[in-house]
Parts: sequence; C-alpha cells; structure tokens
Amino acid sequence: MTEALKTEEMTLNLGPQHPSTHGVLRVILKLDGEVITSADPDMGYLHRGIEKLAEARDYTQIIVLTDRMDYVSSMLNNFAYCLAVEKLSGPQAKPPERAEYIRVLVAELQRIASHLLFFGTYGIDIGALTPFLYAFREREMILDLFEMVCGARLTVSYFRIGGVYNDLPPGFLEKVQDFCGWMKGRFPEYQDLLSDNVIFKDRTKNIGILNKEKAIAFGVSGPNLRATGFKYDIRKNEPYSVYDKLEFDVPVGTTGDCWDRYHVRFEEMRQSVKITEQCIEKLRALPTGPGTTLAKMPKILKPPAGDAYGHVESSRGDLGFYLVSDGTEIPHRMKTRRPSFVNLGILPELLKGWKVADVIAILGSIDIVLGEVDC
Amino acid sequence: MNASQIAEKIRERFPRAEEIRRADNLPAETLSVRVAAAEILDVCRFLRFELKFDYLSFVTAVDWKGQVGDESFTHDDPWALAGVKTQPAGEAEAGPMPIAKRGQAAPGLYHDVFEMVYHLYSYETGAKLFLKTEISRENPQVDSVATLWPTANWHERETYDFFGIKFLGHPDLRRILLPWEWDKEEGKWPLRKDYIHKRDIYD
Repeated sequence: MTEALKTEEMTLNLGPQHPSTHGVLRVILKLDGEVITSADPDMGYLHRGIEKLAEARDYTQIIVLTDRMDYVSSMLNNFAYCLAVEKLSGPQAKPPERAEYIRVLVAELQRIASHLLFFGTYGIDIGALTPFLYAFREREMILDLFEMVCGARLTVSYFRIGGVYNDLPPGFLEKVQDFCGWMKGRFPEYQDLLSDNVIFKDRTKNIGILNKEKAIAFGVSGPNLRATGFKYDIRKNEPYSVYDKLEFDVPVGTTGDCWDRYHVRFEEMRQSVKITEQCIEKLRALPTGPGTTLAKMPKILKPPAGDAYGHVESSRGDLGFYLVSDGTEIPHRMKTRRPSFVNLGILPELLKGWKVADVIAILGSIDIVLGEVDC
Repeated sequence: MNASQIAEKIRERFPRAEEIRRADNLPAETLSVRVAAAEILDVCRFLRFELKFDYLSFVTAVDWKGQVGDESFTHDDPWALAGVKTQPAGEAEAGPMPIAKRGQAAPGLYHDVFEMVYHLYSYETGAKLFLKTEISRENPQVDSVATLWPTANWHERETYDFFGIKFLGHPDLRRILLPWEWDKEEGKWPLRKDYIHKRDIYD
C-alpha cells in the first residue's frame, strides 16, 4: 500500500539582492513544487522620500530630484516635471521653438539609451551575456553626447522651467547625425544576436501573457500596454511639445507575451532614431541666439495657487507629475505618477501558474527601474 | 464628450457635485469636480461604467493643514557629521542646512482637511477628469475604489502608507514603501504636514 505523498507550499524569497531584479526588489513567492501560486512584491528598499523632499525645495531645485527617480531615463523625467510646472505657471513659461526641438531630440536619444539598457540586461537575465556589450557600446555613444550637451551622463538636470539650460554646443548635431547612421546599421545585428535567437524565443514566446483588458484595468502603460495590441502612445494621442509636427509610427505587439514586450521596445528604438533625424533637420534650420533656449522667467518662480498635471510617454510608460501650488516658491504637494510602480502591480497577477525560471523572464520584460518604483 | 458635457452629466446624477474653477472663474485646463466623501464610491461607479472612464491614472491625497515645518525633515549636515568645517568666518550660527525660503501663501487656502485626488482618463472618449473629495484629518477614512479599478489597490496602499488614510473595503491595506515595522509606532505618516521626524537607524 502506498502512502499519499505529503506536499506543502514553500515560500521562496527572491531577495532584494539578486542580479536580475533590476535593483533592490524583494518578491515573496509561494510555490507548489516549481509552480508559483502567489507572488507578493515588497518594495521600498530604494525609497528616498522624493515627494517629501519636494516640499522643501523650490521648483528649479526639484529638477535635480526628478533626475534620480528613473535614473536610466533622466531626460524624460525632467521633461515630465517641466511640463507640469509650465502648465502650472501659465503661458509665460512656454518654451521657445528651438528649446522644444532640443527637448525632443535629447528625450528621444534618452529613450534609445533606456531601451538599449533594457535590451542588454534582458538578454543577461535570460542568459545571453554577449548582446549586453554591444548595447552598451551604443549607449556609451549616447552618454558621450549627453556629456557634450550638459556635462553629465546619467543624472542630467538639463531641462529648466521654460526651456533647456543651454544651447547645443558646436559640432553636436553632426555627432548626433553620425550616431543615427551608425545606430541604423546596428538593428540587423541585434536582430541576429537576440531577437532571432532560438533559446531566447523559447524562453519568452507565450510566457507571461497579458491581455488588453487586464492591462487597462491595472493601469499598465507604455510598451507593456502596446504589446497587448492596444495602440496608445501619449506622443500620438495627447501630443505635447512638438510631437504633433513629427512623423513616426507606434509599434504594437500581438499576443502580449514577453517576446512582444521585448519586440515593441526594439521597434521603438527604430522610431526614436527617425524622430531624432527629423529634429536634427529642424534644429539646423532654426535660428540660434539669446532667448531661443529659455523663456523669460522670473528669477524666483511663484506659480499662482492651483494644481496641474503634466505627463509624458517615458520609456517605461505614462510618467506624470501632479503639482499643487499654494502661491509660494515651494510646491505644496508633488505627486509622482510612476509607470514602473504601476506596471509592477501586474506582477502578482502575471506570475500565477508559471515556473520559477519564468519569474525572471516576466519580471525583466516589464522593465522596471527601482528608483522609479520606490521614488 | 468635452469637459462641460461631462460636468453636466455628473451634476445631473449627483446634484451636490461642483466643478472647481480657477481663481479668475475660467474653466480649468483639465476638468476638476469635487464631490462629498460619502458619495465617492457611487460617483466612481457611475464614471467607470456609464461614462467609460476606464483608466485610473493615480489616487493621492493632499494635506491642506498648513506649511510643512522644519521638524519634518532631518537636518543633518553631512559635512558637519564628518567633522569638516564649512561655515565661512562671518556666519553667525551653524544652524540646520538652509533649504529654499518659503514666502507667504495665497490667503484662505489652508484648512484642516485631506483632499483625495483621483485622476481618470477614458481611452474610448479621450476625456480627462480630476475627481476630488475632502475628508477630515481626525480618523481619516474613505471608500476604496479597488473593486472598480484594480490599479487603485497599490495607489491606495501608497496613500495609506504616507498619510494614514484608511480605505474601507480595500482587499489588502498595508504599507507598501515604508518599512512594515513603522506600524509598531504611533503617528508615522511622513507626508502629513505635522509629521515630526525622530532620528532613527536610517539617519
């Protein structure tokens, strides 16, 4: 007579120190054998209290704080914040046209840099260690361009309320043009390295399928939402800055699995190169001089009492800042609507029923940055 | 559907709802509607199912008590802690690190409430809406909308974490970003304006 095999649910800690959690994220997994029954993310290891700090700094000082939220795409964080403050301050803060095109140029370069980092690190998560080195070779070029324009590689603080800090240095547009040409040649290379790789496809196709209704209900935005087949991009549907004057496509996926989320980001890099080239053309034609990169703003900015919400299509999704002003130089409340935080909310739903090895593939495909999750 | 039509529809169903206008009485850039805290769940159900606001962007709270005091922040000067003298000879006192000076606020703004703010968007109609409601600062609580929009689950946890507002009917209300150990002490709601920071192991 055989005895029944006694099974017990096991709790596994995907601890804060882990090379593939993209930062300090702890996920408390409950397993039945190797199948996940529940997942509970425990965040806050990188919480720095940015929303509280913003209540003690004036509007320009907060730009420095916003850089450090999603430290992989700091130009886009600056962009969202400056849009919100400009909405709060009124029409006097509208950036001049040259400043708008510079903003879009560096924002799209930042998007390429962020997606390159995703490309490289997602490969590493799956086990492919080589594409990372190629991706970072291109990322180095972008970071060098950022250093040329504002002096910093990662936490740039380049945007100001009403424009950008300074105009582009001489020789910059030629270098960006060279970079765009080089980058276009890299896409077939990356396709060979990772997208067409059989092992990569096995580990990501039909894994972690997210459908459109669940994605909308959970507030998922950005490439994760577009991978489900829903074509929504804030740059197209609620255009801000000069995106309505630029031509680009919005890639969408079909099934909402990990491979689609990867592929949407891959194609977005192509579109960002297209936007960058259009901006270069425009910037060559626009006049330079004093007053073309920063609107005339008072030295101490005191927006009228009220509230405003400014959001952009960041590389991770819908990044927004909700600012409440009480008429002083310091905001009364700054709420950061962070896409990585909201997108991570789908993880408990998405992981049910998959195996432990798939946890890394699914978590990597959501593309979170812990600086933004924790704020 | 534009902003005034939405405001009309809401006022039809909930006569006590009011549209918040700017100081110069022009319509705000994004429609803002204030409702009573008791009807917030009904209003949200109406917005979700009948006006098709399917995307909840964020849920947050604003503390309108007053200006935040200095005791809310740690003022350790990292240079002084390391024993490095940085005050120039003329400085009178080596006080806490000065942060930006705060001027006089607009009159009549501060009152003893928490203002809940919900930002809604409709993918179908493209309409945007700020839904606001005021709750008292003593024993703050409001209905949870997590059953209507699953994304509200984490947003409400974050608001509870920072302000101490209880969400009635929330499936799993506990702290999300701050340490779970903070629940053992009283009054650890950092984003409140009267929060007093006590030195802890993180300082």
